[in-house]
Amino acid sequence: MTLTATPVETSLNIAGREFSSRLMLGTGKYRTNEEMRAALDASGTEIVTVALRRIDFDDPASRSVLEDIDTSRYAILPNTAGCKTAEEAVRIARMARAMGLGEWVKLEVIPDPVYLLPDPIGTLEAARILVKEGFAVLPYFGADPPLARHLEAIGCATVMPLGSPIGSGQGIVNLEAIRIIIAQASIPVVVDAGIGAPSDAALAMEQGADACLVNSAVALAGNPALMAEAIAGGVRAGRQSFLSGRIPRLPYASASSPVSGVVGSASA
Amino acid sequence: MPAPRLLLVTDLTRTRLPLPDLATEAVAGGVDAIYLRHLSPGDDWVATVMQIRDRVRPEVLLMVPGKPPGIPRVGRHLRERDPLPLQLRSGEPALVSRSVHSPLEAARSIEMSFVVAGHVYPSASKPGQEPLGLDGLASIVASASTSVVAIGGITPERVAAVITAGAHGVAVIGAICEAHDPRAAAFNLRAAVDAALACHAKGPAMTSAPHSETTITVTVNGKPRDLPAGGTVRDLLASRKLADSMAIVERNGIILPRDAYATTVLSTGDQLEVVHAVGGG
Repeated sequence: MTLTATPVETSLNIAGREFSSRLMLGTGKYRTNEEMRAALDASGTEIVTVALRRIDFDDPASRSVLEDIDTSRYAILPNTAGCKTAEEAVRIARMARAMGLGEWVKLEVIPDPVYLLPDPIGTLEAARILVKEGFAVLPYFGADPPLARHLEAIGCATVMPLGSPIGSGQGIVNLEAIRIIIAQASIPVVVDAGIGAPSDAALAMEQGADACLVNSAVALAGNPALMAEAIAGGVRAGRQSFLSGRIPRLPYASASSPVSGVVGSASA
Repeated sequence: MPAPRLLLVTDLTRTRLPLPDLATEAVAGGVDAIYLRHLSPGDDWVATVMQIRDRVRPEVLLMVPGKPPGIPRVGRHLRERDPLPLQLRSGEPALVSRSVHSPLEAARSIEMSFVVAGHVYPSASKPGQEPLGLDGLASIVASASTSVVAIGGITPERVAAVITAGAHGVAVIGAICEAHDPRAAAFNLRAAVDAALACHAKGPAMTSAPHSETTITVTVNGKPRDLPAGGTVRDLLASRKLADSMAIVERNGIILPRDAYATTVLSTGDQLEVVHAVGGG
């Protein structure tokens, strides 16, 4: 009797921390704080992203999203969204660290306002500086396998290739490239951006991605909490599929029912 | 003439960090000038100086010893026994500083950007030598024809007395080079200098300009904002009920530790970025 060796489920390990959920959620774009909190809760997520912005001193109502998030329950992953250069991203990362919520940073260096595609050179440059300063760097980048290897080599905690442009809901448009990144990486691969529905998340996870990060698909859904639960289901299903070992694709059919003993056939 | 508030004099035998890293950490903590003293010519020291120059903010003064180094944006520092240049090069503004130990030499240091006067207190760098003391420093300040930066045994606790004696700023060697966390050491010194300067500005010396005592103008997130003189970062945050929030404050390019909000006194012209976490993906 032979057993096919399949991977067993382990926890997600990022920069020395263990997580049982493989879905990270963003906190942007929600219509209300209540919807956000309900979605975070329904998703089972353990890691949530936040951005850093100036406090509006003229608006007494402006408040930090952290007043609405239980920071003892969720690991906070500050991003450098809005930074166009490596220098800006390093500055924002340092400010984020000053919040005292850890050394993690989701690195975004994005000079392009239309497609929001990250600058690979600025990203690598900033990652190198931040790793040296002791940050756990989770870089967001266009799914380019050689760049992923560079980011891993300089000491990033994960690689976060994008599925399609931020907020576009186009799903995974570069599956082959993401597959290669997964095959080559020995740090977690988090597919980030572009996921529009549970099937997109499942597809990424089926390839062996270690986690997905989703924001718009949940925040802008008609019912964010329900969609959060659905995408969490997609992530789980995709992960289980990966662990199970899916069948190979064949260019022809392979009948599921016995091919012998069919009624009316000529006996051999 | 530019003159530093916190000058780091490097000593490679007293730091565990490579020089560029020490410089970067020190500047992040609030050092605004570095005298790169123990670079031995012949090595690739010009490359090291240029590397440091390119890593720190352009307004940070960088000095190297002796002869004109010919590196753009890098000045030179003269020891007291070095010959005084007959005439500083005209044209581009020359950045030249000089060590002095007496009022006479301070008076002779004309056209210098600043002089470094010491040692004020007993110092590990000057074993067995009699310190100037605060009176000696005050006489140098009285005679000097330029800004005086005090050196020798300077600690955050001693900064106020040194500034009161008339120093424009302070210089340290071991206090930063030998610190376990050079950035924090620099931060504590710079905070003490800024607090002493703010306190000094409010003191009797300024009675001729009473209007400047009551209000200062700082820039907060790109907008001018008037505050009562002597106000701290915490006061600024409290004015928006943010004192207990997770607000992060960057003052003049330096991120403040949260526990320094209450002790960091603001001055007119301060550039502040006050940020917090918002929803994001």
